[in-house]
Amino acid sequence: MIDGDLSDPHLRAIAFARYENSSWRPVLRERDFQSVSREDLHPNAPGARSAVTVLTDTGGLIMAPLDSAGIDTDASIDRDDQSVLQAHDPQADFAYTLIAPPHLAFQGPLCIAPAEAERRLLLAIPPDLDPRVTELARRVAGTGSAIARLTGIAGELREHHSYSLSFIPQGDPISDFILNHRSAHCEYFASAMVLMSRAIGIPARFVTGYYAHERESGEIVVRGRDAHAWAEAWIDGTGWVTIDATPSSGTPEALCPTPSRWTRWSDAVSDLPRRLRQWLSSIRRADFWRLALAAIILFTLYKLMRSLRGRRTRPGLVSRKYADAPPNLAAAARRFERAVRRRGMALHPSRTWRESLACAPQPYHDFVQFYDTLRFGGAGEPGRLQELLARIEQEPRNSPK
Amino acid sequence: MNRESPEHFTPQTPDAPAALDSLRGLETNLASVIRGKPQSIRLLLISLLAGGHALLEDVPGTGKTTLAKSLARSINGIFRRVQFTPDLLPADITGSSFYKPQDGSFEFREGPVFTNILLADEINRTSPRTQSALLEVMSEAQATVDGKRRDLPRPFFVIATQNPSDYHGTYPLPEAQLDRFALRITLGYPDHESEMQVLFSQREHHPFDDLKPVVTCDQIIALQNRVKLVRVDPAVADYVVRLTAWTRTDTRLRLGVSPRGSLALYRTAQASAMLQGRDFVTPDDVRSMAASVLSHRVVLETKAKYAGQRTDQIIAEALEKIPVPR
Repeated sequence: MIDGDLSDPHLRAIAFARYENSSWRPVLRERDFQSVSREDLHPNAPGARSAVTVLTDTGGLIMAPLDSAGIDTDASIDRDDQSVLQAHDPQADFAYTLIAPPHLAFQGPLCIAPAEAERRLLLAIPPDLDPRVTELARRVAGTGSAIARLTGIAGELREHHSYSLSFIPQGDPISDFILNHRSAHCEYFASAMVLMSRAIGIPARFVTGYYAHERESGEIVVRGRDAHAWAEAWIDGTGWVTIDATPSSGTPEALCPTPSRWTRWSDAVSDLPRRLRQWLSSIRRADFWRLALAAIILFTLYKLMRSLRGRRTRPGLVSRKYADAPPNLAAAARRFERAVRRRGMALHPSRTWRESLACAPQPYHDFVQFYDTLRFGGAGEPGRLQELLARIEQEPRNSPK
Repeated sequence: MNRESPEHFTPQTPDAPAALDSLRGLETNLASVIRGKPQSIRLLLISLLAGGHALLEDVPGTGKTTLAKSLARSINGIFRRVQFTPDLLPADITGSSFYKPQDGSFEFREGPVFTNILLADEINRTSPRTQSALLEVMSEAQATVDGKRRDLPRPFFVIATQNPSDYHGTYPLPEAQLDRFALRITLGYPDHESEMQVLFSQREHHPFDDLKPVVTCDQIIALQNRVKLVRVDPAVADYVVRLTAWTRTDTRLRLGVSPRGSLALYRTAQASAMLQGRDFVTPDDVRSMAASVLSHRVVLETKAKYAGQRTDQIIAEALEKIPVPR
């Protein structure tokens, strides 16, 4: 969720340099991240600031437009050689602020000029790429400035290829896409753009990220469905530039235009737990105690009303005590119940002892029978009660038969 | 419960043990005819001893009439049976006066209610008017015909049988009538073994024909009087009242248990204690009688009825919620 405006909707997450065996490498966990100091990300650069709140697990990746003037965060950040930023502790909650660039194609902290070895990597063309791709690239690029040539390639891709989510490639997928099938999704357009740039000698890399375009009540919301891919090229004298060769029909903006009411509703439902978490973490301590107090008062009122209602409908049928047994019997009853519980048997207040102890050994029945005679029959020798009780207490604990 | 032995019983009348023994003979008698239903037989005896009346309710063919007839035959008293039909009139059961032309007076001919044991067979097949004629007879043990009160012989015990009221061709008993039965007893189907025994025992003739009277009416009256002497601790009486009060406050019930119901629970618990050879009532006695005594006295709210609630479930809930005295 982004509170503010973005210079460029392309929020880069991961950039790739190597294309091997039809896929981009290295994957995130194989990357060589180095810690980067807070100052290196220009946290105090001038420019409009947009607060980014991460509501879902992004693996700690920091998404930012390529031309950001600066990134301000308290979390410690790692960076790799493709300017991919990741929080040092991916599990921790973190928030960051993006600083807008003063002009287009601004070279901020994410735009680091490639070293010589790096430059060679960014120009590498995979051996299984069809040579006709290189020919095509040279032909459509023409002979102009670097920007003009890249625009030529992007234009070719946009005009003669179409967007489609169903593409089953034969042979090298990029060659098949560029030369034959001419219809695939954004990753193919981006890959084709990168490889064709390299074919005409311009270093380029493949970038995946999100295309931020959904506005909800003043904020930009980026969701999983906004995932996108594009190319970044290095132009000597200008620096890194973003080139999105996907036809306009294929951008997330076109694929997910203004969300329907149903989509918005389902989004709201699925966002609820995250928003709640965010709201809870935003409550200040004082407010928290105030809320807790209100909750306790409400709960007490509810209990009070319930107990009042219960009293009206069940006048003491459950809670009122029965007339007391003679003191010596009451004491014996308490001793018996204690002895029974200690031997692992349960006594339910609304069942008689006889029912609760149906499976108990004989001494228990003897006691219950004799107790009943004294308690309800009003006759008998109380001395024997102690004797029967003593027999029960001799039974081993926690081993009902 | 059978652990209780008769030696705890302190006899109040000299012939009490003999009467109790003959009662056990009665139980054996009935068990030889109605197989596999000792609980139902015991409940029937309890309602006899408690001075109440019994309602046997079940689907046809489960032995309701046979049980009632066996009980009547085992007691050395007058037994009469009325088969209730839709065209039966009140006078048909209480009796009526006939004009005697010889001396110009009226002579009263007693109806079938003038008996010790009245079997009201299929009571819910007759009209409510005739059913109501039984009201006075059952609660007062007297019949008023032509403005003259006539006492019935003692003991007077009504055993009514009925098919569950949602069967065709029945007039459900009004609440006031149901309330006059101390117990409602259901027989249910016998288990596999018992049903096989039923088949074999009736190979040549019905075991019912072998029954001999084992108890006299005087003995029954003596036992009924003794039931009233069985001790009930105030805590147990409190428990009885709590159980009935529960049904009056339950929102799912349109009609709770009447004080007559409390009294019936009290008496039947006494009778149950005496049958087990005790001279005092324990909460176990009350609990064992509650379902049979209370569940036919309450009426469900329409909403609860269609929500699938049953009266015996509500009584069972009361037994689960209300603490027992210790």
